[in-house]
Amino acid sequence: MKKYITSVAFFLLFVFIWQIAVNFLKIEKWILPSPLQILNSLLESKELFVYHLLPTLFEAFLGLFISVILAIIVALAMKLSRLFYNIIYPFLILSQTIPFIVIAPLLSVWFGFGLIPKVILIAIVCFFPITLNLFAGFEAIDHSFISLLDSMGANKIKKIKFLYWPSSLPYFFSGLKIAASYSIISAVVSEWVGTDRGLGILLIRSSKSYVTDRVFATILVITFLSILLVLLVETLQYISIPWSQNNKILKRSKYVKKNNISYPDFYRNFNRSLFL
Amino acid sequence: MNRLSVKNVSKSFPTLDKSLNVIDNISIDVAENEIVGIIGPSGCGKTTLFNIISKVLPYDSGKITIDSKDLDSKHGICGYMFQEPLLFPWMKALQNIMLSYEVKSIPKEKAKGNAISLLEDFGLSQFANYYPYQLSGGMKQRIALLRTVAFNSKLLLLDEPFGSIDAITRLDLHYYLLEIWKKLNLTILFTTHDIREAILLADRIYVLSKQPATVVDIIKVELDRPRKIEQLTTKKAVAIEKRLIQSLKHTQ
Repeated sequence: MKKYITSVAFFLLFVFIWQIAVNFLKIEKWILPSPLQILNSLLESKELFVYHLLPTLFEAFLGLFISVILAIIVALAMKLSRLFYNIIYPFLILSQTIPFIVIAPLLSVWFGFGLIPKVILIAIVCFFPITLNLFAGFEAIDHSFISLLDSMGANKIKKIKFLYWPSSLPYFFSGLKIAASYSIISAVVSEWVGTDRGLGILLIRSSKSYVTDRVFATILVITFLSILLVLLVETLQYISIPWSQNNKILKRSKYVKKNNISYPDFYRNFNRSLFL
Repeated sequence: MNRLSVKNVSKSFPTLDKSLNVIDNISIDVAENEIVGIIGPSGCGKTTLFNIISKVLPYDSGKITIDSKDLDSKHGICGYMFQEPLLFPWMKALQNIMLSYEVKSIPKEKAKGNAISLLEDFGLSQFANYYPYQLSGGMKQRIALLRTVAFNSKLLLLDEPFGSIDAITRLDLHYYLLEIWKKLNLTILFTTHDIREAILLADRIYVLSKQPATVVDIIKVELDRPRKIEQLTTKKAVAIEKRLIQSLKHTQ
């Protein structure tokens, strides 16, 4: 917690100066609202934000879910088939240079203004970081483990189950974290093209009618949602990878060596302290 | 009857301009319930030989049989323990041992039962729920040994099994291995570059030359069992040690 104190203090100072500056220079609300005015707008129209937040969140979740499934399939296929890898990998890298926002209007032309074009855009944007990370995880596997499973005559499905998937989980989650932060933003952008409910359309409407404090409040809500989603992924990661809560462990093991503690006793105490 | 028979096996790896001959016409027999050691300079091809017997690598010529069945048939796979414990970090000790059964498509419940009773039989049941990072080096090696036994209790290949363990823990592990060997009537082929380890464990010791590996000498170790470390200072053992050193000198 200590290391965040300075950055929190800096942020508060920034907000304070902003507030003072707006008051002192008498800046109009529609040009730059003060932090208090933004907060006021947020609390005043709570229901409005909740109303527009729900579809955005739903689209983001759905898109993220679809992209996860696609990414797992494609990454596995790339690992299992060299031919598929040779065909698809250059396009995966190339596709990273396309700004996906520009295809939102196209998707709208093809699929209308409903849920489908939005979910497709989010899924496309989220697909790449997960796929590339997961594949990097597959490539990083210690070859000795593969030899071990070979010596046991394990088939490909067993290798995936026992080795590829669990050992790539940390990579998968770092990809998922990036994707999670993209998902809300993509949902907002996809809503710009056209919808009647969603944070994206709220943002556009507010800015077109010069309700600038609400624009800022909406941005605040979007940021908050993205952070929430990333935290959710981090929690999932922590639960799914109980074997790599590494920093604490490393410190502890040095402590063990120094004090010559026998392992079972030590870990009995350690596990207790971990769960209480 | 020979459990494992390696006859005139050769193996070479292709390099840029010519092929590198790693194993040259090696023949090794291991009888049922026998412990055979292979000793030789490091990099002489011991691990390659084990990779061949466990079907990780193909071989060029010769014939390998396990229980008189050709290695190419499905029955040929043996329990192979690598130099490192190679416990899967995401599995607890129990699950690591269950893996050996699950690879052979034994249902999960039965695999769990088998693994638990194996841990109990060899005094490690209190470690069943530890992740590898929570275990000491010696304990990891013990679990890896049990995993290997769980996979195949007929023929074990141990590749420098205790090479990365400190000398004091290593002796415990030697006794542990011999205890398992006796209880389960194992047949063991192991490599080492520790002369005393070879004498303490083995019934016979094959000395291999530098690359390409050939058999230089075969030495019988006629020491009483159960073996104790003190036997290494007896006249018999010292004579064997001298002969081993002589043979190893010729390999240089």
